[in-house]
Amino acid sequence: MITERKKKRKKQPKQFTAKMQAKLLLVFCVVLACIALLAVRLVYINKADGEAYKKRVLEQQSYVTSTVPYQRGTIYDSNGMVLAKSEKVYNIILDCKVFLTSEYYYEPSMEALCSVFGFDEAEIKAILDEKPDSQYYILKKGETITNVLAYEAIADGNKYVKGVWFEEEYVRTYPYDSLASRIIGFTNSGNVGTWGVEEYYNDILNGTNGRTYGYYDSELNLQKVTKEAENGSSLVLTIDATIQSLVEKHVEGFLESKECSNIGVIVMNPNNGEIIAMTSNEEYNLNQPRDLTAWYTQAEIDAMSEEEQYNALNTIWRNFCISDTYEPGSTFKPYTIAAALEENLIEPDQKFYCPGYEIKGGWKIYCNNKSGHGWLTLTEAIMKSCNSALMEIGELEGRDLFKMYQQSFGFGSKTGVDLPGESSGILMDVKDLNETELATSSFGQSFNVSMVQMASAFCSLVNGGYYYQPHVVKEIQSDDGAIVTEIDPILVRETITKETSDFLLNAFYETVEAGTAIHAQVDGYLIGGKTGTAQKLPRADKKYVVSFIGVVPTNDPQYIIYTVIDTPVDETYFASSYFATTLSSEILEDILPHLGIYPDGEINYHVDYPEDESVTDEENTDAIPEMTED
Amino acid sequence: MDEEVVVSAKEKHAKGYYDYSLLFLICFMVCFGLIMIYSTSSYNALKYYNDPTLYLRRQAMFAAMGVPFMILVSKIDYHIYMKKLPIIKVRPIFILYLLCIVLLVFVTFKGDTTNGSERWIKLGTFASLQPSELTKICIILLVAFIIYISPKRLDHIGGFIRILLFVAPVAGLVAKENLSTAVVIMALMFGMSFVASKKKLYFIAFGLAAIAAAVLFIVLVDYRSDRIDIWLNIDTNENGYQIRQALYAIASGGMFGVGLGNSMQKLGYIPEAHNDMIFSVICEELGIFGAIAILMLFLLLIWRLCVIASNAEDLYGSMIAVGVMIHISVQVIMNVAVVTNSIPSTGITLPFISYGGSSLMVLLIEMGLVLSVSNRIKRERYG
Repeated sequence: MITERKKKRKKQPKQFTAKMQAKLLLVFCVVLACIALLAVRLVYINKADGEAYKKRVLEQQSYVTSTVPYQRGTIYDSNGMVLAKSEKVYNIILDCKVFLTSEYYYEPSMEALCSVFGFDEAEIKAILDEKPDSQYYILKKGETITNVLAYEAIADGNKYVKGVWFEEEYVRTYPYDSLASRIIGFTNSGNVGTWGVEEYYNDILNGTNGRTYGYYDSELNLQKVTKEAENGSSLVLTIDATIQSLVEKHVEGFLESKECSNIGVIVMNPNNGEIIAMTSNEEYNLNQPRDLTAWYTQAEIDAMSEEEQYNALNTIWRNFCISDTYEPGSTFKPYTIAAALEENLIEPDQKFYCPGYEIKGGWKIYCNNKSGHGWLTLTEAIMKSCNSALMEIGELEGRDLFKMYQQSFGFGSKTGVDLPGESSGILMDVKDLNETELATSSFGQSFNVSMVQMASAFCSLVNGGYYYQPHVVKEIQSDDGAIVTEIDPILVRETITKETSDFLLNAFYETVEAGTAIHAQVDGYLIGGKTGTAQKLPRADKKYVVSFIGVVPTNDPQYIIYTVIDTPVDETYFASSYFATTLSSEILEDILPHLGIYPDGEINYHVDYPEDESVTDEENTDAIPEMTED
Repeated sequence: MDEEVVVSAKEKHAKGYYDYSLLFLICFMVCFGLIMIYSTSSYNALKYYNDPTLYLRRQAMFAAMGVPFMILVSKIDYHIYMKKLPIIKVRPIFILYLLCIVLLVFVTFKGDTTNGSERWIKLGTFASLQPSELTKICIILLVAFIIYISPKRLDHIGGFIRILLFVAPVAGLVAKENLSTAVVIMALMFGMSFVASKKKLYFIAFGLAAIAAAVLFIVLVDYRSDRIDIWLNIDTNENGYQIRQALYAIASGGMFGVGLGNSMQKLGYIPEAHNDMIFSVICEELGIFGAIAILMLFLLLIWRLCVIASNAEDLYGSMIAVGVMIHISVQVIMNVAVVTNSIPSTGITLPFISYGGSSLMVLLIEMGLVLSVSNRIKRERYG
């Protein structure tokens, strides 16, 4: 065979010999062995380091070479004033190893460092002596951009200035300290929102960190790649900082002169559910949310255990307006009446007789006027806040209908306001709503509501029956100011008809004009409203929650105000709504001109400029002579 | 060799032999590569270019051009590369050799910088050419030709040195910019000569000398010795980021992987995951099972090349097949070894699967050459 092949080879082109085949087979075996070894290596990596490496994959976030921080979104009020923002600051990092690489560096670098940032030369020298190999020593945190730029200018001019670099970081600041503190909330470690919109919109406000990492490319050059951070989105609140600060000022003024366990005020736009202002008790400083010194003396703080301090802080941070519930009292009466009117159980011109008390389920339940109001119209029943008339109406409705309307007005469930910590209140079960309980419920006792529930439901009473979800954020903007999401008013349901709403508006007006809410009057304004004085449990303690809920102007409702004062301490007025009505009146007088509503009988200086700027000038020039003629 | 007998038995029936199983293997590998490129690159492509299929489309374009071109090459008689052209009386293989040298010299001085190294030549506005890739084909054809002319000279050390003199300048030019490709070129030359020669001893001596030189080179050149440090202290060295991430990927795959498309590591952790490090994502997504299956496919491909080499019409065809086989073997072994941190880091692609237009085109042309060799296998060889 071999000889045969040799003969052939002479005639034919050169061939791949058997010897070559053997060597090719050897090469193949080597390749096979290598690949088999690599396969073993793969299995080994999985077996030996599998668990440890798997964990590291999960721990990656802190494992990257360096992080480029994102900027958390800004929070604006409805007019674009900055309420919360993240400012870039710099950490000064000393790279001792680089600093000491050459003696040429030492003097100019030291001089630049000390002259710009005001460090003590001996101090730096001590660090360099102690840790000559350290490449990451934080000299100072939170340095401003001005100094950093000054240093970099020196470093650019002198190539011997070395060994210092800067790390970016963001610090959250609140320019108005305590303004709207319970709506805004604060952040922990810069980007974990706690309370307020900071918590509710935490994910939207936060962005994604970028990274800088090094790796070797195919030519073994060290490549530094920076993936830029994606900044968070900004929020535009419905809160008007001017209105909010005026409301806060009045509440503070009240707290200075009077004592009470809680106080809360909400101002809302009934036509879209926007909350314009919301404050409760004393606001806390968002820049120092953990500072207890404004509330307690240093000795008291020192005496507190950690848990006690924590509880004290939680009490301070708590938003009374949405987290606390109470029995609403007489401010609830309009809801009972609205339900009866809707179901045609009573007529607007119907009359009621009040003997001063009613006997319900064996209990004698007194009216606020124990000697009786006598004959009253329905409007007068609201004006004088008559309990007897309301108990009659409650009985007409019956427990099923009563409960159904309570729920329709949003009581007993969360309103869905975009703030954390909302409570849903407590309603009585239908089966527990016996004759007595129905009677007391009809004038707002024996169930619990929150302020935001009352205010939102009241909006629907005065705006023609449209229940809007209350909210504090109206717009989400991207990093560069473009609108990402416009939050439209959410119409949850229709509660009552226009006729009922109109009737109630008139009754509210009469109540302020000549009824129990007379102290809520503000000269020149059409104000309507209803007072409330609820007796707290246990009834024998004679503690009250006094409140006023109002609307302005009654001919075209633009704003509602709800003021609640829990357990005011006062000899004369503790069981009357006097504090709530006067406080509301004072607030309204101050804020209404800022809201663009001016008293009647005076000249309206307000000119509605058209939004299109191109025509503004023309119209202005036309308008001025006309006005002077008038 | 049982397989060869089987193959030759088949040949008796088939008149014009064509290795369809090899063709199928190649097509499968290219398609698998496209899937993995889409899986690994879509996140970054979406992030940086707002187009998840960017890399996929580019690579698919090269594949769509490359496969028909491969079939075209396979239909051309490979002997024309070594026969003198009719008028100018020059062998095409020498023209190619000179062209490679010119391009390499050109790229050294005037190349376009991509990823920090100059090794691309811009062709118009669309394509760019990597001369070092083209050089691989050139060396395979050239060494095969020299061996073909006088296989017996390789039995003496002088014959080997003669080949070395041809290859060394080219390899030197390549090494300046791209060490790993130079290693592949030297391995090609060395392996082909080894197979053709009757002697073993002086190859072993040369091999040892080459390893010694490599070690010296690494120790002497500063930044490359950092690479050794990374290799030995992969968990602690700050610059071992890329390889460390690849190891994390392999380790988190387990037996059957996390599933195609579910890799965590490709989401920005492994830089350029669709490139050299694609094997680590294969391990993560398809597990040890999938990774070994891919290695088996490569083995099968290499085996087909061995079979073609053993049965080729003449020594020239055999040596071409041997060259291609060594090329693919070396790249697969080096790539997987780097990804598993078995050898110090060096940039080398996984054949057919990694992203890269030049690399894929060159591989497909090489495959076209081998298919052309298989096309001329005569059934009467063993008859």
